[in-house]
Amino acid sequence: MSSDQPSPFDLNANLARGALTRRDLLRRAGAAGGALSAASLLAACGGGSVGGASTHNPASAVGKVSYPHTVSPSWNWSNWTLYIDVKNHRHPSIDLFDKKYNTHTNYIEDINDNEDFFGKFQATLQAGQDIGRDLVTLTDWMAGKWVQLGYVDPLEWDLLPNVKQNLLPSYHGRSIDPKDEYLVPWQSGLTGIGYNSELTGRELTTVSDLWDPKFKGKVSLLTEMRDTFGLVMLNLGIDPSNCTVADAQKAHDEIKKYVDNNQIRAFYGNDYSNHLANGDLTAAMVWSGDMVQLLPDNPHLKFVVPKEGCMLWTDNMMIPKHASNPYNAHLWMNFYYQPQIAAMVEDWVNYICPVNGAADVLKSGDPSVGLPADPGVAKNPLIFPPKSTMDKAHVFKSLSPDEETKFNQLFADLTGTA
Amino acid sequence: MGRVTKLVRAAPAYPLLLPGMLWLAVFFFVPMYYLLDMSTRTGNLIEGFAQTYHFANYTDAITSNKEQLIRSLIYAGSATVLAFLIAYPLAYAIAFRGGRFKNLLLMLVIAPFFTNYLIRTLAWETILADHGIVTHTLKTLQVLSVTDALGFTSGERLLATPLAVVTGITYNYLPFMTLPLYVSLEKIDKRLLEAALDLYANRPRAFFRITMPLSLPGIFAGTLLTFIPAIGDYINAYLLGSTQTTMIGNVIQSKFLTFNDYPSAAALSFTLMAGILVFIIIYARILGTEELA
Repeated sequence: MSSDQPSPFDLNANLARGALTRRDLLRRAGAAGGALSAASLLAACGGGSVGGASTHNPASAVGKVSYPHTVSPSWNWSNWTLYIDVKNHRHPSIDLFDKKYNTHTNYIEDINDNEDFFGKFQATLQAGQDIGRDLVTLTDWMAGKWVQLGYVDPLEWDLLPNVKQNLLPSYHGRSIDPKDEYLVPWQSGLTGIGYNSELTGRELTTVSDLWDPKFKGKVSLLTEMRDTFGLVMLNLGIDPSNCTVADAQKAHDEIKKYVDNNQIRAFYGNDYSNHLANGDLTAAMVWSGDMVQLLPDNPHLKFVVPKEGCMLWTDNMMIPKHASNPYNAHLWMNFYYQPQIAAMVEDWVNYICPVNGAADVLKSGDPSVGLPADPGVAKNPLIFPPKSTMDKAHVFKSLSPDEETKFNQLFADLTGTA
Repeated sequence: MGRVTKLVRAAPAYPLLLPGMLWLAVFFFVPMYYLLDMSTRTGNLIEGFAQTYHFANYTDAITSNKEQLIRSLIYAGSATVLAFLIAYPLAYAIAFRGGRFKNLLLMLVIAPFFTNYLIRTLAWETILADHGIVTHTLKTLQVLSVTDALGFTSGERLLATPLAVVTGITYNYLPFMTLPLYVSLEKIDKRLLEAALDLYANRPRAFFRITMPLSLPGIFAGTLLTFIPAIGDYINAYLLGSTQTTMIGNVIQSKFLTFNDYPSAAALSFTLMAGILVFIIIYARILGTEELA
């Protein structure tokens, strides 16, 4: 039944997959405290290679494109939890890949937090060693950091004809990878405004609406600095994909007013979901992925892309330097960019799909990969946003370490943890 | 018996100490050492943290987070007092009036611990919700206008206010207060009370001269077991609080995990530990329970 062919409006399916989204996990992990990242902390403190990375096979760590174009019997991919199709405890899309190329994919769900994952492998990467992963999936700003630090192997585009053909145009030339040299998008999400239309009694269209005195103490922003600053910058007419510390200061000063007069109730991670659903919050900055799950159960909730623009974040596939099996990683990326495979993944994941044509496959289904039709997902504007939305989506720029410290300090002052 | 004989007699016990000592060494002293070492370093995660014996990390950490330090002290202190006021009568009732239900009642005290800490705190989000019955009732009874005026709450709501945070902490650490109190009350020889009454003490006097002093070790242990974790707690402030209620634990958490500013976070952690240690020593002196101090 529904667990085999989930639609986003099917409660059971939503429970099965939505009980814990990956951002949920991220939040909870943060809340659950230092224990979780104690290992990465120790690794960072000791400067040693406690990260559990295998450093074998240094022979493969010779150069960029000099690896052989032969399929390895197995390869390793790190991804976020609950971020790929699941059926009977297996991942059908990966099974198809393994069968086609006669390989074995070690699909490792060991990313719970960008910083955590970075802390775990940073020392090994810095030492120029293989971290035991052929593909990792990290969010824009962290991916940008890896690129900046030279931790990523360039892509060999000749091996990626499907990506070339089907990657949606809005993903080309993003500020974190302007020449499309390193990153291939896996899934995306939008950051916009969610509100309870019953409580507002009107439509909200812009971030300025959050500052309406009528909603005093009933508004929340996000704990993710880039999302909150990004939306407010757009509201102030600043482009977050090309902003300075002075711009961050402006965004800070704008938000500070509303922290001080108690307009803003709190800064939340995914936990805004509960508060928005039960009416503690009237309006909030929200992530589209959460709204896919919230909207069907709460008819009064609305998601809106502010007229001045919204933020787009993407988790990107990339090949760490000195990976042992980069050829397999290329094969997989190319494999995933077939619309029917992307559709398989999308039918389960419900974030934004960067692969052109996946929506069409979902409309009719594709028996060749065992995918039934799921027009609900195909028509959902939060999963396949219209071009007008994507045109308004902005990616936060890649910050230098110095900028990042300053941005973080400004943000910490707002959340009361400076 | 001489000192040496004592030591020799105890000798077979030493190997038994080994597992505990190893545990302490690996999971307490080693991390402590790294933390101490980290607290005087400078740098960032990418370029690495170099040991520069930058002791200003400590003064910076304290001066820039004075507000949260003081707030933590107030919240943890209030929660400890509240927990004491709730737990003492509770423990007293179980110890003296529990009868054959003693064990059942004790189990009920611990029962919330069968659920995860996070889940319990999240439950309070629902209990204290703006449209929940608690908030509604208190609003109708005008209690919230009083607490608003006192600064315990704001905007006629409970969630995301200091009151919610202190309530959460009190609730979460209540068993830590109740159990030591119960243990010390339970072992009081009832005949002492009878003797006091025979000697014409009235009940309150007997309580303050016999029961209370004899339960001091329990009070000492209970308040410490509540106060110490409470002052470093950040879950309650995170889930039930707002930007105006952040505690020192929230600062340390965000410095460690969000900003990767390990040195300041380590310095803050150590400052907190030192502060608690000083507090315990003074407290032990005042309460004068030598067997514990």
